[in-house]
Amino acid sequence: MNTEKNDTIHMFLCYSRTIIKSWFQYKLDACIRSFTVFIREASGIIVIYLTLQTFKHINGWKPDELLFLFSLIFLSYGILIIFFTGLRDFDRSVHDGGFDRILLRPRGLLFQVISSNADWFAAIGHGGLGITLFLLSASRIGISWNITTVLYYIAALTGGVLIQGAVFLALASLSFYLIKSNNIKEIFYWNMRRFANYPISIFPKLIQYLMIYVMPFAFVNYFPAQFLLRKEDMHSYPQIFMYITPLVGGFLYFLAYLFWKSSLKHYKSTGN
Amino acid sequence: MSTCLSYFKMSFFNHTVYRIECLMGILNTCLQIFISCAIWKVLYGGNSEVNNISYAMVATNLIVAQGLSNAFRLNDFAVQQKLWDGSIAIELLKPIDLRVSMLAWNLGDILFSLLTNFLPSVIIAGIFIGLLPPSGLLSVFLFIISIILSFAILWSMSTIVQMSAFWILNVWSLATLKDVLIRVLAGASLPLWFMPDAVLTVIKYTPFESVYFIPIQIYLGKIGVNDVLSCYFKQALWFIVLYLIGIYLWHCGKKKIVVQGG
Repeated sequence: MNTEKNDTIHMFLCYSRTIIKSWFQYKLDACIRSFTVFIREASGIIVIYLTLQTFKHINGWKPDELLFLFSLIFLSYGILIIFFTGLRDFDRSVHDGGFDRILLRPRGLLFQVISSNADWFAAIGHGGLGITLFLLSASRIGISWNITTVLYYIAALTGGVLIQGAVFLALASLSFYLIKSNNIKEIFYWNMRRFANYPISIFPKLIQYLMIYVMPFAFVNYFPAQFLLRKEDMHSYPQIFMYITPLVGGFLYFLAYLFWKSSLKHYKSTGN
Repeated sequence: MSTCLSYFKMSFFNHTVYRIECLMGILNTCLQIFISCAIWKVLYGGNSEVNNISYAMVATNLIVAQGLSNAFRLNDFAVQQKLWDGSIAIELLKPIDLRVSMLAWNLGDILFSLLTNFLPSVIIAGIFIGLLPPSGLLSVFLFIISIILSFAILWSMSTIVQMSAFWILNVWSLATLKDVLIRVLAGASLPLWFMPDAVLTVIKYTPFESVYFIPIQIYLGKIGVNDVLSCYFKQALWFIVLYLIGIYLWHCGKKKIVVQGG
């Protein structure tokens, strides 16, 4: 048992080393690309920041507080993509038959899918932006950083990664049934993520329900930020939502894992 | 001319095959418009006007500009793809200039997305969010001329990016940076009435103001008929400057072309 465990970690490190080597084969190009992702993602924030020069706040959220809200979504995506790129692009490997190869190997399927790819440009671009925003805002919004808040922050970030990971895993499982699940991902993940860039309280009720109960992005950044900031618009939601992000993450990931397990039985190779 | 027309038709009817994609496109544009309008509505709070600009004007700006920016989407990688797979060699042998055939192809694309993406999205957004009518029949006409010029500017910007493929082999970063500049500075996500003055002074000396903001000002009748000419002049000037840069790059690029493989 113990040797197998060591073996897993060893393999994961081997995989990671190879992936990093392949992504950074052309060093200058890799730097420029990561930087471009950073700028592309930052541009949306620059627009909001410039807008707030005139309006000062959006539903009571000041610029620094918004930056903190953004930092959670970017940081969690930056971490997410190191582990879940294989699931993000999973429909491709079902489509081109790459998944068949993985099925033949004597290791866990999910382990192989997760460890065999990592979009490092996105990780550096999104993660770097998340860190930048965090550093810019964290000391200016009146959060007292002590053991409790730091632990909560880490737990919430992990929860946020797991929530989005669960979504990727569930969508990847869907591609066993649909072969091409790209469109669904586009609608459910990327479009809903656009809403997550703002405090959800500014949107109509329907969108708020979607963001809490259907594609729970609200638990990735809005509610954790509320735990630390306690803005007034939190009154319209159950107070418990501020605390349960890690639980939501764990629970959703567990559900997605069960779905993955049962979907695997339906897998039919695309042939050739 | 007939060759151009067949390129045009080919690219136009190419799209009709993908119906689901078309619906997705409308959904995407509407969602994008809807989110920005929701945000501006909150920013306005209960105020009917901020800095003499009403919410309806902002909404109109966002609907028209974001609708256009989704329709005027050009493939910045066309030349790069031809360089990578070597088909540029065949293109150069054809009795039609590559840039002309590319323009015909792009126009087919654009007309298709204007009809199937811009129009439906603007109508849907207009019904649910509220779109100000143009200030008169004349301004519709002036607006159309102005968006043709905006398209010309965007097209020559895209040409510059595409032609860089002769030197840098992967234009993804350059194309993305170009899109970022347009997104931030052209007024599609932040109407330029609300741009801080310092930034606005800089924008005045760039082509970005001419892309969406001038057409929208004309549409709303904020620019008097007498001043429209000088706006056209500004747009045309930027188009010519950018176009000349594109031509220059194309001629230099043709000379140093390296076709990989065969």
